[in-house]
Amino acid sequence: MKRLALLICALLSLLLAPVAAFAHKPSDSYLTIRGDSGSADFAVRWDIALRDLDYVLELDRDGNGQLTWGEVRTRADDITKYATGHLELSADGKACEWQTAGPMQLDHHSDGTYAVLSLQARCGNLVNGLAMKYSLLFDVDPTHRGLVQWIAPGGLASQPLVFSKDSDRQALELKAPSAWETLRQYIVEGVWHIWLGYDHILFLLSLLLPAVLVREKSHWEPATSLKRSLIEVLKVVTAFTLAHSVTLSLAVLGFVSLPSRFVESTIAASIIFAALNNLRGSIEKKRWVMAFAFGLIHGFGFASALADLGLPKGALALALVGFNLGVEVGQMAIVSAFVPVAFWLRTTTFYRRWFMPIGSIVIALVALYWFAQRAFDFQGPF
Amino acid sequence: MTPSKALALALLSGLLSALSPAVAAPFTPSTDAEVVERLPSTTNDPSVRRVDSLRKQLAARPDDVQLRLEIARRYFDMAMAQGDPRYVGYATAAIGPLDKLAPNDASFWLVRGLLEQYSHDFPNALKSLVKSSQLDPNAPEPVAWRAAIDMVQARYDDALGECTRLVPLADPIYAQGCTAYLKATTGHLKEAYDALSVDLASEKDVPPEARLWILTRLAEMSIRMQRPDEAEKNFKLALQSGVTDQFLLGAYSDFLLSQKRAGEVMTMLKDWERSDILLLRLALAGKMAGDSRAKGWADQLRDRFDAAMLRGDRLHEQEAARFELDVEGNAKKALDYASRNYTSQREPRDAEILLRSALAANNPKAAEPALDWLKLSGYEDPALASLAAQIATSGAKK
Repeated sequence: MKRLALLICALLSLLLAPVAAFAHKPSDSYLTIRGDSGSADFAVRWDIALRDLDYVLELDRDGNGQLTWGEVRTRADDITKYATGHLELSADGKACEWQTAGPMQLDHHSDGTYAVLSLQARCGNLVNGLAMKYSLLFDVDPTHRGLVQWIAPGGLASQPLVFSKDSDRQALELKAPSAWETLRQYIVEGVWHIWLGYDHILFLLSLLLPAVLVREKSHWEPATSLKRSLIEVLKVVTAFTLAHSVTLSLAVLGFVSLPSRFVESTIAASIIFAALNNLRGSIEKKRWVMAFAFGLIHGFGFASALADLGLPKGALALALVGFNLGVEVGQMAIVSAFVPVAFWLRTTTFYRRWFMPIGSIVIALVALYWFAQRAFDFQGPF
Repeated sequence: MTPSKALALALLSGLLSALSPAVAAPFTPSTDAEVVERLPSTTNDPSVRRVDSLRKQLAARPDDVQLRLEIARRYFDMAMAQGDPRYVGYATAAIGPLDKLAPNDASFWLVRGLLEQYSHDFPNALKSLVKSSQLDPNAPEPVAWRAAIDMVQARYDDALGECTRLVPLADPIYAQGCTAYLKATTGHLKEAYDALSVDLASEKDVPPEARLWILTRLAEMSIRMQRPDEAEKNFKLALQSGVTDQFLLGAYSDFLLSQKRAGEVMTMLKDWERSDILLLRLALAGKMAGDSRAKGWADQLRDRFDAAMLRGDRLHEQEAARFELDVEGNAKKALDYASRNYTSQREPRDAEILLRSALAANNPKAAEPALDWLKLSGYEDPALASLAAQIATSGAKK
């Protein structure tokens, strides 16, 4: 009775701390299956934890708790046989034939060392599609998962599939989303982000408002030529684009990362600064420098938006370029709608005396509100 | 597009495509003697060796119900002690055939219930535990576990029923602990604290695990009563009970962090990186102290949460929410995690992270389930009350 009671309490305490229960990782294996256009062969890279292989194949021959490369290497055939016995690719109702494509290697994952198998599946007729049945380790660990990255023949982006005991048989879609499809998808996302992320629009507008004017003796005069205005616009937009492209890429590739609160607050601050500058005109000739400097920060904002969308493995570059292009297209749409109207209105007193200063003040106020929200967790009425 | 932009983009894409294949290259060790992996089954771990030998016996006697149950139970206890979810998988496999071999065995349904609650399948866990009690009405364990699940899911009337049922089945301290924890959560904090302190002092042979559990609860109650010195004293006593418990270490770390004592947290947890919940505390402490290891801890945690997401695990959501909010500073993501977590787990700290994320994300509506719970339960905690008040102010302005 006492032992039992003791046990209950231990259990009770642990249950009431359910979070205490999962320090290590559950068992997963990682597969990359890649098709080749014009061929019925599939290249498979399969990473299986040495610890799992030891559990079923007893690799640790001397039982000292340490696996040496020798202990693993000499069992390579057993490992391959065990693995391919639990994975079946089939086309047209017939199992594809397994071949070894290279010697077994190793790789590190977050929870230890994995054996890396390089295999080739030779399939027959693909007309009726391709199916996969996965059954590795389910008999000894039903919580095991096979995490598959599937790259269809001719495809660039991979499609993630999760195989579990309850879903051990799935079809592999042979029609790849083409590179163009992936690119198009991210271009659309980029355009949407510019249109829905008002902060980037407002920043750009604050820089563009004075582009059709020139500063003469502390007040604004209409620009004399369209060409001059367009060059001004071009300089600002190009500087902004270059800057945010650089930081977007660096952030997405994981070279640089900044806390999102800092990024979001600084973006708001950049709008305040740009808008107020229109009133004082202290930076008039070198607005492109300002566009470049703050563009660097806006790039981090784009990066977190892109990360929220999810990045396709294998087509990271495509996603990045597509998203960036989308952002450009969205930006260009704003510029080409705004600049002609502004140029047309530039000679009016309304534009110079009212629209520009009051517009700038409104933009600055909105951005100030955002800044307070983002930097100090201020809970506003909106 | 200007030529310069086109050029820049071309350069960029060139750079990117050059970088992509560099990810994750496998390797071949240079000598056979190189140690490539350390297994948990070291020769000096008797529990691992014992269960290994039981497994070998099972190969010869696959229909031995008692053997299967013992293996499952041992693996489950190992999972709890070491926090390794693979053992839960092994335990599940061990009892796999028992719903056919031993459908009327109370222990089978108990173990099955334990494994189900581990993977947060609470409805099925409760069913299994009820079945276990029907088959063996005198067993205290299924009752205690049902009480615990009811508490996690904030069904306090049900929990009270189970605590009462526990009285004739086990040592009085368990029913007392069960009831006090329930009362402290439902508006009788001080009363429960005093009663449990007296119970603990008057009982002579309280097993160390029970002592630890009760002292941890008392410490948490002291914090809520704004008696930090008493909390410290209770935590210290719990640490001296001689039992290692990640939850105690986590709760004490949170207390230290709330007092800005990050250095002590980093010293106490220096060998605990393998535990997710304690790694989170290390990352928080490292960030608070500006420690050079903070980035490494945060990177490790990010990897683990990403891996869990990949396999579709939903076990880490409370920690993931705290990580997003307090380490990454991403309120929106934190709120996503906290909201999803709150659909299955409704303990006070699940409510707390939901309130904090909703506030940070400026989304008072998302906090409603936690606010409702706070009102209905009568839970007393100045920290939660202040969060609720802040949300009410911002919500009123909306």
